[in-house]
Amino acid sequence: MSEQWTVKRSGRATRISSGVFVLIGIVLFTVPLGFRADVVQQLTTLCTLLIMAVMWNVLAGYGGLVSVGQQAFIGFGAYATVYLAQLGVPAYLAVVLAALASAVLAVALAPLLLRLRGGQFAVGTWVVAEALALLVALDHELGGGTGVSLRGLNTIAPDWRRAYTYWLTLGFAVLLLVLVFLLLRRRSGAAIQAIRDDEEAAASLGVRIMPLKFMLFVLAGFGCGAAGALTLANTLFIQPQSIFGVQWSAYMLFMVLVGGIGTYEGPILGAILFFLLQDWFAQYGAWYLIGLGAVAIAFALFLPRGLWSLADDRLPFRLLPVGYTLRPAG
Amino acid sequence: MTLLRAENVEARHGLLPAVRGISFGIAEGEVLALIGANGAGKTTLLRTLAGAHPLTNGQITYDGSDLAGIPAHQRVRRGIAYVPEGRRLFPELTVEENLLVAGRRAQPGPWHLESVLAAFPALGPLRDRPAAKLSGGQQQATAIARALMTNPRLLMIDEVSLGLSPKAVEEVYACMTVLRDSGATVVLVEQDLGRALSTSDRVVCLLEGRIVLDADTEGLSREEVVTAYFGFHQARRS
Amino acid sequence: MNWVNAIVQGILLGGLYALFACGLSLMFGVMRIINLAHGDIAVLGAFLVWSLTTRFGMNPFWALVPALPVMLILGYVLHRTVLARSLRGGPLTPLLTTFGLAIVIQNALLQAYNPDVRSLGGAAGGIATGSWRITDQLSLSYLGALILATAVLVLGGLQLMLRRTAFGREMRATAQDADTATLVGVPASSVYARATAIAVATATLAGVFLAVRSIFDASSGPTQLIFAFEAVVIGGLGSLWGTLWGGMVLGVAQTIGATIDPQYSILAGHLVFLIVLASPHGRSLLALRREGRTT
Repeated sequence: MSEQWTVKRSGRATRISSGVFVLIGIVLFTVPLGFRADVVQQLTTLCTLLIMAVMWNVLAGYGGLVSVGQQAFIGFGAYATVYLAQLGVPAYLAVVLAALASAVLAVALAPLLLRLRGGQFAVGTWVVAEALALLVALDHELGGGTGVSLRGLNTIAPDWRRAYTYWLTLGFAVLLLVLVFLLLRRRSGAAIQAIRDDEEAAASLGVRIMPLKFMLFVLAGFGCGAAGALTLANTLFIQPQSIFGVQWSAYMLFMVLVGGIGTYEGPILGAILFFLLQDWFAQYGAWYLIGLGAVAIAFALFLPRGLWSLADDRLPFRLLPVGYTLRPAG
Repeated sequence: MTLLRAENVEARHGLLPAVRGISFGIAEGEVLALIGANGAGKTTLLRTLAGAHPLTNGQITYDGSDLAGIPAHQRVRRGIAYVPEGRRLFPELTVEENLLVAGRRAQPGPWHLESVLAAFPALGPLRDRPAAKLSGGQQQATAIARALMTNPRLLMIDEVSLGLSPKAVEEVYACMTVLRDSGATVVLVEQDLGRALSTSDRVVCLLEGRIVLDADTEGLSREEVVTAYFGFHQARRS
Repeated sequence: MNWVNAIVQGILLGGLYALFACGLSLMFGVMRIINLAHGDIAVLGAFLVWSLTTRFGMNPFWALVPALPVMLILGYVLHRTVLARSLRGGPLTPLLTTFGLAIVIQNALLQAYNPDVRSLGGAAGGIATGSWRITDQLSLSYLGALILATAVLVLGGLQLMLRRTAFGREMRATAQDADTATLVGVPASSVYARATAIAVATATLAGVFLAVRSIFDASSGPTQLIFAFEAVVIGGLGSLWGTLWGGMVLGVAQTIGATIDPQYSILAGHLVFLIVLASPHGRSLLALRREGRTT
């Protein structure tokens, strides 16, 4: 056993597929120039779902933190946008600032919540979301329990408004995907994967878990805040009951579980699938949600690595260079 | 009569093979010492026999029937008891409770709370003490007593004297005499070769997951055992 | 005097929360999982009793006689079919599965009944409305006293079962070291299944009391799960009597909040929970978790 091995991050196939990803990204930016307004709005929804799925995967898939309370950040991002817009900040700038404010909220909550593990973290985040929803409902400036509209966007022509919102959403989605990609590519990537596989073993090997979890939690707070703010920019009206609703966590869980938890590509796949399912079956109401829950249970029990694992195990290469491959040197 | 027979038994840790095709038998009433260096596969072998570790390949026959697919707790009811490495008592249960948990679903037999406490007189005064507050020797005695509560036909004790004071080792081996006299079949893992040889009828030595020595203790020279233990050259098989 | 009343009512309310919490606490203590469907299971039990009362005109408390065994069996089957498998999948899988289960139960109830808000108070008769007047400002409702007494009985019974019975010993042994428990002949999966059955039955009891005391609908579950979880954490994880105490602290926080302004009621409970979580006291409580205590 004296062969020489080298570690490679990508082969030619991976480089081609990565190029295709970038190309898809560029093509997506041109969509508003040629398509109808409702398509643009739908794609905006898809992009916000994608952001949520990727962020939830960052927490659960990489950090081992199952959150049932990410709607705290979704709602906070949306309401921070409303608040800033009421102060006279231009609406799109307010969206960006609200996402940053959500990151700050995550920094503030981290010492409290990251102490909790497993189910405690899950319910702990949920309590925070509920408390925020109640606090917002108390504030009449923010519309109380009945909801509030985002002002400042109605001066823009509707088609352009949708296009701007779409570009901003796509921009956020790309930014977050790049951030997660870099996180996995850098040294932290190996540490993250070690935590994902076995937290205690990773700790005993000297991986510093807390700073990493902190980073993932703040990143997810930022991303979910952005998703909330963008949802508001897309729909222009929110109510505390729905924007702080636990159904967001259900959707995120579904997308990530079905796509493939702990993989880079899985949540993207999951978000697209969920978007299509939503489009086709949402009219069935409760039955649709029963189906979602049942499918999520089935995936958790029988295909825990999600649909992506089926493709990943069969492809001879990786679509994106986020892993390591051993090859004989020479 | 052969009580347990292992045929070509293989077990892995993840992808790493720990036990690589072991075949041997244990006769009823025999005391067998399982020896070998750390990592030789002794604990994995015993855990596999007890049903606590998955069998990758091979067959285990006990009392004439195949054990495949039989979970650990049912093997206990059939009379296979295993005293794990590190004793693994239930720390917050008292000595008596530790014993009673094991006794609840046991086959009827000579061992019950009173007879076990009579055989281990040191445990009597400690019966209401939480297991976490016992000394190492007391813990080992409790662990063996707990295994006896299941009325085993085959008792496997992992690392009998590991971490015990010399005095405690004496006490534990005094218990061993009780076991022997009761006619139980015993497999013990022991690092102290002298002890292993003086207590057992037969010695099985593992090296890197394989049997390198399987011989009756009587007439076995210490040198042969040491050679097998360290694997300097392939030892003679009996 | 208003405050005294708030505190007394809060303590009575705490009995209800403790009843919700004890099943959650038991499952966490024995299996180390937090059942995110706990609240929805409680509401499912309430709907079952509601069906019995409307179909056969039964008093809801009598309807518990057939409903509790049904829910016990349901809990047992739930573990055997879903939870046992999820326990083998690693620490995150039970969370993902029980959350999926919560969604399924909630929407199945929505589909089978409807979104209407309902109550069992009317069917329960005088006990739901009667009370002892202590002073002009202070009264004790029969129902509140009954709920608190039931909570004390259930918690005491569970404690006694864990301490004194052979099954309780097996449960504690399995909680402390499941692997070794199987090696001394304890069928751990059957112990787990029975713990789940007990948890589901106590949740049903709590759900029915909630439904008699106030109102419920298909989506009442998550809130009850949160309250139960808060009671468990405030009272110290894994301690049954602590759960009663935690329920009372939560109940008193909510009634005092409501005395100031009804809008503050639930918020005050959340804040007390977060304060306990943030305090050094809460820190030490959470540290206990790893030692695996059940009682």
